[in-house]
Amino acid sequence: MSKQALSGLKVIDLSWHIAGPYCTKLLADLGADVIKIEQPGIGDPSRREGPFPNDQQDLNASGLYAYLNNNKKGITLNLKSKQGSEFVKKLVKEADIVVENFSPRVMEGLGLSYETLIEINPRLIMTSITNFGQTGAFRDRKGTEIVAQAMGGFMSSVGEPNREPLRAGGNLRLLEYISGSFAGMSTLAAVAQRRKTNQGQHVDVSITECGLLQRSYQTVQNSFPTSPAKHVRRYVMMPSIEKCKDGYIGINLLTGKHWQDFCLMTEMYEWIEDERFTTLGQRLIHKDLFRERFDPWLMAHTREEIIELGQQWRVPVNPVPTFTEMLNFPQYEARKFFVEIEHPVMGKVTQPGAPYTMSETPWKIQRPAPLLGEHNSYVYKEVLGLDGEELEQLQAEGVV
Amino acid sequence: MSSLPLEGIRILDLSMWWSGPMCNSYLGALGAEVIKVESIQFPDGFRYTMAPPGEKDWWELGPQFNAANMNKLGLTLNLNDPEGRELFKDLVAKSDVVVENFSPRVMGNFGLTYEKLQEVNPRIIMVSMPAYGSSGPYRDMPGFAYTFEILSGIAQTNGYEGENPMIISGVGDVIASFHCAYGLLAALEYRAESGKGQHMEIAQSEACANLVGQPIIDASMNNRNWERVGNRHPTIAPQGVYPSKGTDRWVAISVQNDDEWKTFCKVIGRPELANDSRFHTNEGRNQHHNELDQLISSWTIQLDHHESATILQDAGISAGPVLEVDEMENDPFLSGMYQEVSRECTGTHLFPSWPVKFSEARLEHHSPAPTLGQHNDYVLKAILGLSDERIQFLEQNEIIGNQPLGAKISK
Repeated sequence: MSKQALSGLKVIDLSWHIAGPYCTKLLADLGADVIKIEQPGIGDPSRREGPFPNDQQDLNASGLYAYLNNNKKGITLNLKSKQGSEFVKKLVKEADIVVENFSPRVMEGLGLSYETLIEINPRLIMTSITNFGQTGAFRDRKGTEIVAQAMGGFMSSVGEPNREPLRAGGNLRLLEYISGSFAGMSTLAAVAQRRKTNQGQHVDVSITECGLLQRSYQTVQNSFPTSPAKHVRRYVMMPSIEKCKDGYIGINLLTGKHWQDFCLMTEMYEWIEDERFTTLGQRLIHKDLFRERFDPWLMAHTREEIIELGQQWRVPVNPVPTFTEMLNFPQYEARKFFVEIEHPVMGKVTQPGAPYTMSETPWKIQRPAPLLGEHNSYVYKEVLGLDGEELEQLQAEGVV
Repeated sequence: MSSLPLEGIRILDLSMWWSGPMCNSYLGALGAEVIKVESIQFPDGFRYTMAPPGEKDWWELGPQFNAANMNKLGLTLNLNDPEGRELFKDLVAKSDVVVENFSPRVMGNFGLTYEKLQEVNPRIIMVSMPAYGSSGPYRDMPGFAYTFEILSGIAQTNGYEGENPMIISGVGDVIASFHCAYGLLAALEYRAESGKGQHMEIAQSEACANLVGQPIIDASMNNRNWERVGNRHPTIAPQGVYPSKGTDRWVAISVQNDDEWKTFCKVIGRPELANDSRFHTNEGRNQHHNELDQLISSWTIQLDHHESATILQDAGISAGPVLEVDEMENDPFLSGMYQEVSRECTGTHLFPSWPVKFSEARLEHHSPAPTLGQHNDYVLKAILGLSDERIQFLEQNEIIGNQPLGAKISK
């Protein structure tokens, strides 16, 4: 078995929902040894979210949980119990990294602040992901995906002019994933730093601030007086993703030449040089007139016909696959991007595979996501040295 | 951080536009010596985006290029010229990482494949960021954020309820960029442990598709396709973006459970709604969401978007103003993220820094984007030990330079 890039790194994962688990998924999929700690009886809330096979709710059969927690070992532990924080401290002693995404005061309340943990293990890296960061006047505010996207400015570019702005990515919680990946890379930066200093660090990632990176260029653009274009609020293109006879199609006109070819393709001949339409800005002003003519053309053509016409007229046309169509999309199929993971309750589950290929240290799935408390026996007995009776006692007390 | 984590690491950054440059700007902020390699024949296309044609040195004035390339040195080298390629290999011998986001055939055409680079430097890490991958029918198709968002399914989740999928202004580049930085740091960690370099490939569309595991599993398991739901959420109702006082001002609100709902009714001055049985459960509130939206809007419209958000937050309910570009730099929350950076030809501007603090110290930019070929002398003399005569020869033969050749002919 070839080694993986992060083999040997030990991670204690206290995180839940998406941002933290996505961060530790990135670590686990490259070989880090991740022990995920969940609440007894309930587990990570993503276990209740699904999708479930045939929509039958089951804490051990959630698609979201399965996807985010492959390769991790899972134990249950009541962190609020007296023994709870003691066990975490024992695990931390031997660990390299702790990842958590509770609200800022929670770890301290559990007696697990970073200051406490580095006393136990000065080489410990702790990565905390929160909506508004660990410090500052906003740290105790409450947030959800939509609030974080709003306050980071991410949202204000998404949607149509004169309508309400849209949360990017709907119910995906896109910004949580983006923040999780940013937390992953910042955690590895701290690992690199530790090679030099032999000291751990507290890595404090703010989800809302991650959202601001989506808008960095627009704020900058308006401060450059020589820039020929000022930022407009919503970012829209026309044409863009369009509804046609049998689904959706992407048409993207990047140059003036594309507009001319587009007119030839759609038989709008007399608009080829009509200044009301030749640039995006003008098209948006004369939107109603444009749509009145373009929409019937779209509804008279299938996706396949429009793709063929696009090739013929050299207009950039993209298929817009649905999720079921993505599973058989030629590019993903040719690269075997989607993988099937055998799960003890769900059976074979098709999901995204490697987001990167590495020639020496391949990405891989070695085990499916843990059932709730699946590795209790291994971790409490083998790692923490409890005997069977002690473990039973803890189970009876509801600690595990 | 007192000493930066990547000090001593040298990265040759051949990447252009946003995804690769943003990744390397982050690594540069972490202390890596990032040498951005362009040529006067083929400068980074981002230099021209939003730049004013015809102004003096206009290829330096593009705001987006300036924002994407901080923390780097600038070198020009014509890789179409055999001498340019030899110099590049000499640099590879003295570097740790090469990053490129060309289409897959380009590095091969230069004779600069991973195998060739490895001959020069067995410890080199090469990172390739093709749009769709170095194999498959899409291999040679042009790709950028718009196509990544479409082909990864992200656009399918984005839009108003029941309407067309929409793209999200460039998020695909950011996603690819972060996954690239993550994988590259993992490869560096492995090399520190084992001494071995490697070749990493990130298809940018696949990095984006890594974020849609949940709907993909729903599709494969239940044959269900996620569609657009606007701003609503199945287990958080009401949730939405509501109009505020002023023009095109909005506030985002999430009411996360039944208790919060009762509080919310009081806060918006409609305590009787808490007794309305239609709204007692999340399910009921979701069923009557349109009606709730009207009630909520009639409250939010009377207040400034900061004002309503603060009132709700004080009552323990998630809410926040939708910040527009013209407010962001002065926002009390985001102010910590902005940093002044000065550059000789463009002056001082506020730029977003990085959304992370390492042991309470924010990661910041330490140098502005380089001008074209700004550090030719440093790189060629101090790193490669070339003589002044040799550098003059390279300039005369247009292997290096400080002005795009194209600038002479374009407007």
